[in-house]
Amino acid sequence: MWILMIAALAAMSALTILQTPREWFGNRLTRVLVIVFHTIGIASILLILFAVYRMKDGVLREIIIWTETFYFTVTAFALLLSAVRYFGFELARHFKHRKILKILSSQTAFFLAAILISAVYMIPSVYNATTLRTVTYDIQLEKSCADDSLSIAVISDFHVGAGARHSEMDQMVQLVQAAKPDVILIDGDICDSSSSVSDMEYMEKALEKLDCRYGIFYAEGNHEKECRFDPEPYLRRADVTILKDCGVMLENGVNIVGRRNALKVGVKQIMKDCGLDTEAPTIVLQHRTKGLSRLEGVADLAICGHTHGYAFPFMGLLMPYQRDISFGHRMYGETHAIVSAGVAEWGYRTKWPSQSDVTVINIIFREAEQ
Amino acid sequence: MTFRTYTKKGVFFHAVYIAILTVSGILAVYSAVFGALHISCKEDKIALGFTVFFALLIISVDFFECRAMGARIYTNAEGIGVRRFGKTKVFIKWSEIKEVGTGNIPTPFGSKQRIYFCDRVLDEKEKSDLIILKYHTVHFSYIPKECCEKISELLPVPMTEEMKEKYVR
Repeated sequence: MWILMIAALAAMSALTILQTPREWFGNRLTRVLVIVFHTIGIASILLILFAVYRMKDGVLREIIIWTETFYFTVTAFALLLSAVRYFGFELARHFKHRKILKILSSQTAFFLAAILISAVYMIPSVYNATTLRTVTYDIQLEKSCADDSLSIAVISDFHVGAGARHSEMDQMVQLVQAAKPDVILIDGDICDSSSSVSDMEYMEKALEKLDCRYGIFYAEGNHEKECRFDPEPYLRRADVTILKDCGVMLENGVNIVGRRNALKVGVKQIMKDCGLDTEAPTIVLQHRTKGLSRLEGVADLAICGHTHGYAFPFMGLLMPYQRDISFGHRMYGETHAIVSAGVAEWGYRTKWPSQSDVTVINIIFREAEQ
Repeated sequence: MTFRTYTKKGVFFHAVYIAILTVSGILAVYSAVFGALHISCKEDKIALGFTVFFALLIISVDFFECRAMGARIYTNAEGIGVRRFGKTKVFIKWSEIKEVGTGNIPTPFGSKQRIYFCDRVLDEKEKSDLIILKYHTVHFSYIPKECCEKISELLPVPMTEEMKEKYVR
């Protein structure tokens, strides 16, 4: 995993260096600037992967994280723009469009455009990543329980540390408290390799502040295994129920089933193992969006995280291959599936077109209503 | 007489490039169709816009690359030019040629060298960008061995030994 990540980042940096105008290496000042830019950028990525978890909160840690965010955005846009430039060039060449050819053949113009577009992109995307909103879904289930309705707050993908800072955790607490939910569900990826002890402690304190009628439940994500500090003791101290391929029935008769990240055990099997009533309304909490169509007829509501919504504008290209749904609400037969955009981003602090959110789901039980 | 505009090695790499483009284009179109069928929020629409943009870009480049594969060097007693799918696209008469030279065509990662036949003498600036010359110019990445001798005989201006060494394959 580490080798793959480092190889991918090295490839991104190498491709960006290749896109750097050759004449910039001829001038001493620009050559030094290019070397400094890449050295600082690569160093910030390595620090986030291997050292930030040892650091205390402070200016230096913030500088490292924001430097990495800017470097990541510039290299990602340089790569995307180089693809656009390449294709645009081929088109202009065939149409013999002099002006476009001239613009696209200038490496300096292209590289400056990549930096400028990255800077412009960062304005809304940093806002989206660091300012949380509440996304509300009102759904109806055909089943009944002791309550007429149930309000659920879903929080996921904190990546506390390089992802969610303490300010985002505070925003999350405020939004959840304002929603006054009956149950709170945490959908994985609460920490990663960048999370420090102080981050984990802050997360514990934040979760302790959350209050609801039926309790807080947690299902693991794919990044928990990278965490330097086991998140489960922190969760238990915050009175969070950990659901690892197991389920519970709430006092009102609603099943909450939490799946491990691997999704190896089927929901039917989990319900059977935990002795849950299969006729009762069932909410499945799983981190990844994989295999949602298979939950049709098994669960009434599936809640996922993992995707971070559309964290990058070109994520739509991957949509059919990796996910059934990237963000929002979708029906699989009678089964509702809702994907949260998450509280933060992973390792960098930009997000567009999606925005970090706390998802609130208001369920009305139709039979109870009648 | 017609000849390939690409060398054998060029044809191989071009075919691989077209295959990659075709596969990428199909996958991008599939993503776009999948995305269009699964719109549930504003974010889906924005992402779909970018996906459609990329899909169209890839498909159009693939189309032009396939079209370029159909081009052939065409030469006869009257002149030299380029034919595509049986139709002559560019043609210059031997009697009109004033200069045989080497220049460049711009590419996304620098430039490629070309040998050109032109009806006037080009200055250095013009030689750096042969693609957008609006007057009668034809340029090739190589001259086939099979027709080199005949071309040399018919050309009103000589092709230097240096050019022959570099461009005749």
